[in-house]
Amino acid sequence: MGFIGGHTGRMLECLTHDENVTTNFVHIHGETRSNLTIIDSEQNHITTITQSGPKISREELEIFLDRFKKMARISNVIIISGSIPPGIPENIYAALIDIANKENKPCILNCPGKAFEMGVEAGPLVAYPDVRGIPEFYSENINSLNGLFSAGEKIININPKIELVILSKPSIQEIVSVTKSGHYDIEIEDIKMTNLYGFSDSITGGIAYGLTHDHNLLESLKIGLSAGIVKLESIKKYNADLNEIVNEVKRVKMHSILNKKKE
Amino acid sequence: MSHHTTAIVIFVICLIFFIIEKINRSLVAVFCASLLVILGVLTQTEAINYIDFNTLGLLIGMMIIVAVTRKTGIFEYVGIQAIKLSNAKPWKIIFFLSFATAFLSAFLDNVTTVLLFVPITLAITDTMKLNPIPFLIAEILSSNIGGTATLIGDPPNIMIGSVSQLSFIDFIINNTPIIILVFFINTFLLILIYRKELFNVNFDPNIINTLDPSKSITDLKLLKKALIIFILTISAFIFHGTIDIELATISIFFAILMLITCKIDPEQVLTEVDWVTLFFLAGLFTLVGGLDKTGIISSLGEKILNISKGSLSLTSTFVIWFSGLFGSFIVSVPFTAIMNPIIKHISKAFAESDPLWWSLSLGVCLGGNGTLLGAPCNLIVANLAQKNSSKLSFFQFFIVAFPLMLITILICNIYIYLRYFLF
Amino acid sequence: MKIKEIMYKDISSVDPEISIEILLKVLTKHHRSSIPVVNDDNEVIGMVQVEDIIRGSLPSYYNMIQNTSFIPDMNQLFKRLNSMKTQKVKDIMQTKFISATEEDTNTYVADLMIKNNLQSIPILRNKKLVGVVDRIDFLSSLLVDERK
Repeated sequence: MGFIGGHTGRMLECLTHDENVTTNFVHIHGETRSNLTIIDSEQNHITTITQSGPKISREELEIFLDRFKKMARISNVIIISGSIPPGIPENIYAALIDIANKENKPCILNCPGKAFEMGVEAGPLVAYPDVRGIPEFYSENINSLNGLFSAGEKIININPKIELVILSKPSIQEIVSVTKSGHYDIEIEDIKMTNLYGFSDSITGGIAYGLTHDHNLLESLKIGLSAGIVKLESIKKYNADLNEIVNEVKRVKMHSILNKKKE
Repeated sequence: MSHHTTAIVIFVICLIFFIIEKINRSLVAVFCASLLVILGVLTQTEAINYIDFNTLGLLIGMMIIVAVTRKTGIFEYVGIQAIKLSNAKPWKIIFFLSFATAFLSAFLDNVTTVLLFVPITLAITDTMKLNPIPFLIAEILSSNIGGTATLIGDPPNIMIGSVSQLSFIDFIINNTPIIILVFFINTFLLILIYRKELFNVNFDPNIINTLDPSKSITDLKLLKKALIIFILTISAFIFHGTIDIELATISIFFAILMLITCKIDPEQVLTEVDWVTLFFLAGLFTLVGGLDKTGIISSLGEKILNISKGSLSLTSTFVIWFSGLFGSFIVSVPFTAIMNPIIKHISKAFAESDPLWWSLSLGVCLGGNGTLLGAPCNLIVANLAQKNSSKLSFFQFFIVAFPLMLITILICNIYIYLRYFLF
Repeated sequence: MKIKEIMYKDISSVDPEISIEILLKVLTKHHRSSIPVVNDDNEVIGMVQVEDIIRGSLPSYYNMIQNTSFIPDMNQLFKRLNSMKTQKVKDIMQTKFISATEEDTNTYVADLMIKNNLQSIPILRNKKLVGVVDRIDFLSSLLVDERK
């Protein structure tokens, strides 16, 4: 779901259908933005040129919200990710999470900046902020393992509905997860974390798969991380098949750093 | 229960269902007719014999001919041309439209005529922002009046012609003159009644001036062929007495000829034949036949003769007023179906019984103008009006049409008296 | 071949309470001539077509006249369309509509379309929308192999 428009939008829709995924996009007045990503694998350098995207009108947003409400009722898991387009209020994710929570549907929130800050207040099941946009107030020293855990702890206490926080900072080669029962330092065997392009999307996708296939939260996180591994180690943008992902689960190690006492 | 009682009971049940309209009246008619046979009032052969196939045949033929001809758009052409002649003056529009309606109605059945003219009328009154009601009422009245003029103009006349053996020419000689007079008086009075809506009204004459009737013609080749056959058919009707061929035969002959020469797909045209009405008529004929066989008809006839004490002029007067008043409330066709055998029975008592038939014809057909229930085309116009968000209520129509109907019946009564009894 | 293989896997729909004006915007932007109407449980309760809107905008007598080109231009269509803007989808939607399921065959669904003169048919699973099939989808399925 989301907003698409123009020729680019239609193409996007068609490509999605080709992957056998059902869509429910709201077609808008403007043209879907094109983002350019240049990957220099030799220098480990990624350059992205991002358009801001067309402005969404109030009417279009209302149509989206109406559809979202209906879809929330029949969904199993809801993933909310990406930046907020122009024209939409910054607290939109909070509104969506509220709707999902009313329907008792698990929500995974993965987005940057203010969108995350406002959205996380509503209590998604999984909170996975884009590390480039973590406001400094979550932690004084975000560039250390402890800083990450402290930020994660702060986030998980924002709303009792949040059960898993994931934070990753490739600059220090760290991924951590914080749950109500503990802190986990995540290690992936033999990983070449060259670039994180598409990494978080793969993780959220894998978690959603786990949740809809009767796995608990941590197991689902492992599946998500495996999907991330496959993503990082393949040159193509698209994911490989399920077997490949399941195969990589064994490379994911969750080191328990802290065991919280049950209250 | 005797057959006598059975026939009456079934007929009355039928009438009740006709009025309450919960079940399609054709189904009711045929169902009750078959009940008569099942219950032994009539044998199957008798039931079939009572069905007037001459009437049905004539109707089928005309329905086919009209169905093909209307495809050419000629009737809309006539209607639009009539409107153009009016030079955009509303009272003239009403006059010319009424005239066109009456004229066509003399040759086509009234329902078809109003279905042709009412949409055009609504289109014009819509664009000219005039109140459509006076126009619609005028069309209803003109349609019924025009249909009285000829044998083929109205189903009651067809049925009367069939039973009385009066010819097409007979109707022209006897009915047409008085109908012309009735038409002019009726239209004049109507224009008078609605003078506020028709005179000194604001309208844009350009709308009428830009009308192009020729745009209505859809197929000129078909039109030429259809018109020729149409005229041949009418001519054959006129002379059917001389050539001694019955109307149903003429009608069906030319209908099929039209289908062949115009290369029309019969399956498509035959769907436009109103089979439901034909079934209704068939059932009705049988039902009345049941009343006839059980002697109810003849006893009703006797009662009428008693009232009029055997005087032809009194009987005629009684028939015309009775038909006019009753025909306003009961749809003309069932009423005629019952009256026909009664009049036939009564006519045996007189040497010269034609005035009775003319009284019936004029009374029933003009009586159809009394209320919205009087004739099928009336309700159809009211429905069309409603679809167009203009309401033509029962009362609205009654208050104008009923008095006019009484005046026309009076005129015809005087005419019959003057023509057949004084001279 | 089952219809689920060629159907348009989009479940865009409208709510019965939205205005015709918004409906028209949705139809235009989505480049569709008809769209399913769903209730809060995402069950399809009706179909609304552009045809219904146009038919509702034509004065009733147009349908009864063979050739209406003689009628003077009074912007009848535009005026009536305008007045329909504030009506709701539920006022004009067809509650009796043809639908198919994912397991129905291409051939059957194509036949449904032709017999009922439909531009598109919603595909349902337990009354819930899972896709739509438009006439062109049948033909474009022939092109799929070419593309790959």
